[in-house]
Amino acid sequence: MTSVESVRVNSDRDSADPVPGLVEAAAAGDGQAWAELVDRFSPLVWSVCRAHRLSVEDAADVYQVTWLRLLENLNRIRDPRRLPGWIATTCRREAQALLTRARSSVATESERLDWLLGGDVAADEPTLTADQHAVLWRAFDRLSDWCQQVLRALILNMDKQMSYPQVAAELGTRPGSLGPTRGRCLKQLRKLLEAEGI
Amino acid sequence: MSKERRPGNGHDEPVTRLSDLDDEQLLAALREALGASDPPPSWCVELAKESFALRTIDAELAALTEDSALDGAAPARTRARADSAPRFAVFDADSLNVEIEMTPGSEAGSWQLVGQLTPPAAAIVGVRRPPDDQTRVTADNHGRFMIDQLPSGPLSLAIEVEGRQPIVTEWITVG
Repeated sequence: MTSVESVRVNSDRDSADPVPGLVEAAAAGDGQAWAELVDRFSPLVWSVCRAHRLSVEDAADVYQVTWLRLLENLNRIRDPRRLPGWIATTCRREAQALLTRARSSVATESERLDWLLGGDVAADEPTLTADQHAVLWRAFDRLSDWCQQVLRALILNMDKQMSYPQVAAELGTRPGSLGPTRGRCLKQLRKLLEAEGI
Repeated sequence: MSKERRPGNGHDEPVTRLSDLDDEQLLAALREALGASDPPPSWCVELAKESFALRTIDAELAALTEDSALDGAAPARTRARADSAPRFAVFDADSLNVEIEMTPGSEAGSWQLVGQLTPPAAAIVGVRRPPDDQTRVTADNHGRFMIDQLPSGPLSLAIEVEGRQPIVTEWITVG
């Protein structure tokens, strides 16, 4: 494992970011590149769908239409680095369109907004807005690979209730360094969020 | 950004910014945003991958320019789901307009689609649905066509008029 204690923000993403190449290859007909784009951004699309509190069935429709819209626009993506924002926006619009169709026509704009923002959210339902999802996702994507690995491992282990030594063992690092790394990575993430003004 | 609830359970006080969240709350928000707590179903992901077969390279894209389901000025028509008011949509390409009207079909959960090509022309109309369905119907000499028993879900039409560049409509969700 390299750069174990590193908490730098990736400053050389232009050369490291595979997304522009994947977009170009998919637009040229490479189905494998398309599959990699789907794998990479599916969690983002799905989380935006679910942030609108769509049922699984409705979320599945919005999820598919989002990918189909990207498919028909592959040749028109001018700046692939902004793809996460484009995807989140497309998905959000489609989700809102579906909600508009499904909702009673007498609902006012403010009622609709209240509903989206969650006035009476059940405890186990998503509580982030679609915008917040996209911003969090973008900020996370800008963290160093090591920070991303550590935070992902910690998140995945929230459900399993694993101890720090167990998580550290999975990551191949010292248990003592995990806490401080977690703190620094979250601090870095917070800085990126502040820069976004969110 | 207006006031939001904190991510995670049991926090009732609103916060204004994600960057104001403490470490635990920020991790909980990340968990939600990254989909770790709610990953997309694998069949959804596979379907999106297989839909690459629906990529078109030589067709002109007809943009959705009107959709009664999205038009706040026509509230009576925004309830296609809840009642039988038809939903109208218009797609515009340079050489052809496609108007469609959707009403609930005879079978529960199915839809009937009636379409009109302008200028009127006989055509082959491909009904595109993921991952690679290409059912075809014909438009008569007046440019009229009908699709019956259409299930809910994503839909795009591919219009082929003899002697012209093929046209595909933007994707919409039926239902």
